[in-house]
Amino acid sequence: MRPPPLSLERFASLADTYGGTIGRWPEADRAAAQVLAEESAIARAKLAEADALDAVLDRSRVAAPSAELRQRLLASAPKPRAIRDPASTRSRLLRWLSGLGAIGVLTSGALAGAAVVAMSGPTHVDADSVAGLYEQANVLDSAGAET
Amino acid sequence: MRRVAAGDPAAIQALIARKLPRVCALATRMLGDAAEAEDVAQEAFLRVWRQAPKWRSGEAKFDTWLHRVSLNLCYDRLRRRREQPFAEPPDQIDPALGADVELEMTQTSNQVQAALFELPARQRDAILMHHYQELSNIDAAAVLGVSVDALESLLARGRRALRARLQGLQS
Repeated sequence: MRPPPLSLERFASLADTYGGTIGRWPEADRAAAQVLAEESAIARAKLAEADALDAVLDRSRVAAPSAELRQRLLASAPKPRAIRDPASTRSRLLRWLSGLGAIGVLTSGALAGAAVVAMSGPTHVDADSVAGLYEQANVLDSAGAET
Repeated sequence: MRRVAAGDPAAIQALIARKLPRVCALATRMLGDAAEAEDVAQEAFLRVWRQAPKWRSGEAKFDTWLHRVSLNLCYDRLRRRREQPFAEPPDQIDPALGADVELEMTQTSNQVQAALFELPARQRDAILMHHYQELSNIDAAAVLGVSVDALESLLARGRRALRARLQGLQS
């Protein structure tokens, strides 16, 4: 279907504004402009004039980005999110539970001992013995971690 | 952008390959200094990385947003130094060309850049966005924060001035 016609005046104005490539003109005007360019020598001359200025503008050159800049950008980019290995997660959980079990055994032993002490004499909590308890638990936990 | 935010190396490399040359070209033409243009590009991409997790497709075109960020960064620098840019030609050398040809091309390039920089700032910005960055009229108007009619007026006046200044280079 033939698009609604474009006046020569509007065509010239578009060429002066957007340059000599009809593909870079507003989308709504392109089809009609193409038809006019095929039919009118004046339109073609106007297009060539705009094209000549485009060609001059294209002679402005800029340097390509350096490889160093690309490297800097890559280094600063978001890092991949860690993907957890299910097997590794399972073994970590087992280690943690075994450590917890060891603490539980030690803690219940300590509590039983404390109950005996409480029943047999004055109440007294020895800070060193509590620290020692946690130290043992940590040793057991570390041993589990290494296996 | 979701893949970029997740740190997907392929998505990040593709984004850099596609957008970095455009950001550098814009900044070089705005500032006339390739090294400073690279600083602008680096800052623009740091903002991309920060923005990536929050980006919602459909709210704004990424390309338009990136151009606006880059343009603003260039203006920050121009305001800071307040001196005439393009003091030195861009340092692009093609070793395959002879010295005379290279010199002539550099001189022509400098003439065009000087003519661009002599334009009123808004006219120059409009030409940079539409001609060099190849944005559509709607996107270029969005980057500059003006209507399409206003963009057309800026482009037409800018091109008219450039045609007069660069008459000697037109065949």
